[in-house]
Amino acid sequence: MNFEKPQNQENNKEHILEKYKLAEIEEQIKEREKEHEEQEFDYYRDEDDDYYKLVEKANELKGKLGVGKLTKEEELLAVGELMSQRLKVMEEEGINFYYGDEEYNKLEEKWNKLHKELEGSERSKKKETSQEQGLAEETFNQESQKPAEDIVKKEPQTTLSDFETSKQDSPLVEIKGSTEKTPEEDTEKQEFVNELKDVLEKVNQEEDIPFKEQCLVIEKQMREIREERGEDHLLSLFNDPEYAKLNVERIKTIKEHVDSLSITNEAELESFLAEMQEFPLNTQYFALDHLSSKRKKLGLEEDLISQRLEQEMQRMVEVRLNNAEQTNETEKEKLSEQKQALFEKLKASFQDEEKLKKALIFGIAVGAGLIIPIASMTAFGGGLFGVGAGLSVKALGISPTLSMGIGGPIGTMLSFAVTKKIANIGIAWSEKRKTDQDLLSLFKDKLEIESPFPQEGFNQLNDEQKQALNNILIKEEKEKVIEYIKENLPEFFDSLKL
Amino acid sequence: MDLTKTLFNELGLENIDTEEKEKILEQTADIVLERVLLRLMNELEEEDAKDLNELLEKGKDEEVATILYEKFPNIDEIFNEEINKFKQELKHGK
Repeated sequence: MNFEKPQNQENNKEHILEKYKLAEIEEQIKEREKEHEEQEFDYYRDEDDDYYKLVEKANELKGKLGVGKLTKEEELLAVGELMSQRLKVMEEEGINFYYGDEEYNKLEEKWNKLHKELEGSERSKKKETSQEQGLAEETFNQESQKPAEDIVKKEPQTTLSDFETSKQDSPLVEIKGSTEKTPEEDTEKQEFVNELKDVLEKVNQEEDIPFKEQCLVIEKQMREIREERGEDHLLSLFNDPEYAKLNVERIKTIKEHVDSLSITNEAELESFLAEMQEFPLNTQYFALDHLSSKRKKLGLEEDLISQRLEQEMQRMVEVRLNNAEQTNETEKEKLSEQKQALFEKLKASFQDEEKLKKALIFGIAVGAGLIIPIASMTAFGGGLFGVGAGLSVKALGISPTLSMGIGGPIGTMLSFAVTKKIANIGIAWSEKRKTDQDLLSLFKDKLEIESPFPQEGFNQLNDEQKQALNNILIKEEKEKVIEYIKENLPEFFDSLKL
Repeated sequence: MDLTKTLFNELGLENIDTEEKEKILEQTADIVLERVLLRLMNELEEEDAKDLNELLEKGKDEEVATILYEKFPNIDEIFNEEINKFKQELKHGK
């Protein structure tokens, strides 16, 4: 499959980018006019060169582009393209990929917003048309698609966009087939919340319990629960409103303790840090975090306390990373020989894929998940947004590995999954054929036909046949498309001389 | 999504050296990857693991990916889940 950018696709992309630019300029003009109104601006007397430049540019673009309104789908593609362009600039200018970039972040937020809007409208369209559609099979079989569709349909926290936006705050997102709760688990969770509540109430009632003891009692309780019921169970509590409330109370107690201490110089700070060493890591974290936030109020030398606190925080993070590595190692040893061998092979193949590692690191660093960074990989390897706006994003489902430019078993699996997600929002746009030119472009790409193209046979197709061809092109591999043409459009097939 | 709130902001480590940050991120990525793989391994049948090993030895990566994808079509979300779980673990401790 050739995903190079043919000229007409490149032109389509430029066209959409210019439409996007026009929409932005028009927005700026509106803002200026609003300001003018507030300032009682006199258009005959007062000068505003910037405003007139904007109007001039808008008129120039309108003359070139016509009056067609920028659709949400086009806007999404334009923003995606700008994200890809920005990533290239970031790479060229050595802007650290790990920590993001203000301009890129703004575009990404916009992309997420549009993505969410489109997904919402796609969902309602699907509802309306689900009875009528008897469309051909997708690139992947129905069974493999189902979970992805289920996820998109779930309300409210497991839709694609919501998943992207909510995960920063939600440690666990319910995913069908992986973390679906059973009634037993719900009961267990409630029991745990009740136990924790009892401990906190006891602590609150018995005012003479020293702070350290309070923390130790609570942490011990949490540790026991963790050991008995597992880490997943404990972490899932962060999604439980009742537990969250209890946790807030607990953190409040820690903060109050810190507030009650006198820490105004280096010696007192060191003494506080030494005392903290005896506390569980969890308590240490909240105590240090709070002290860090109030350091200005305390009049402590900012650099000194910042550095010292960061050292402590770093030490805690390192301890946790090492503990996690050890836990993984123990878990790995529990696997059978075959599974251990497979684990190692899959791990090595993932680590060989630099781009994949980058995507994972980026996802971890900025909480972007894996969809956006992998989709944005095009900036480094071509594909997706880079294929040009004339080509439906759904068409990428044909050969995800090629389009994403990432390989290895896990990389390819992720490409399948990401392509599917991106494709889900592209359906409405891609299934409605825009022009014969779009269809021809899609056709030539899919069948890898070089010019000259036998136009005559194509021109003889009627609208209905063209629409059907469009649908097949979007959904099927090259071979199936050829089969379809051979069976259903024999004259056109002959004209192609394949 | 608040993209300005990076992992390091959340951990209160925004001012540590870039080198240190990269080290933490690399280590975190390895841990997350291992946890995802452990989940997949625990859910796989023994026979599947054997077949997949054989396919990988023959260099049939794409075939392995297709089989695994059929079993775990929500692989991206499994990754996201493990990322979020581990971030919470880093913040709140074990």
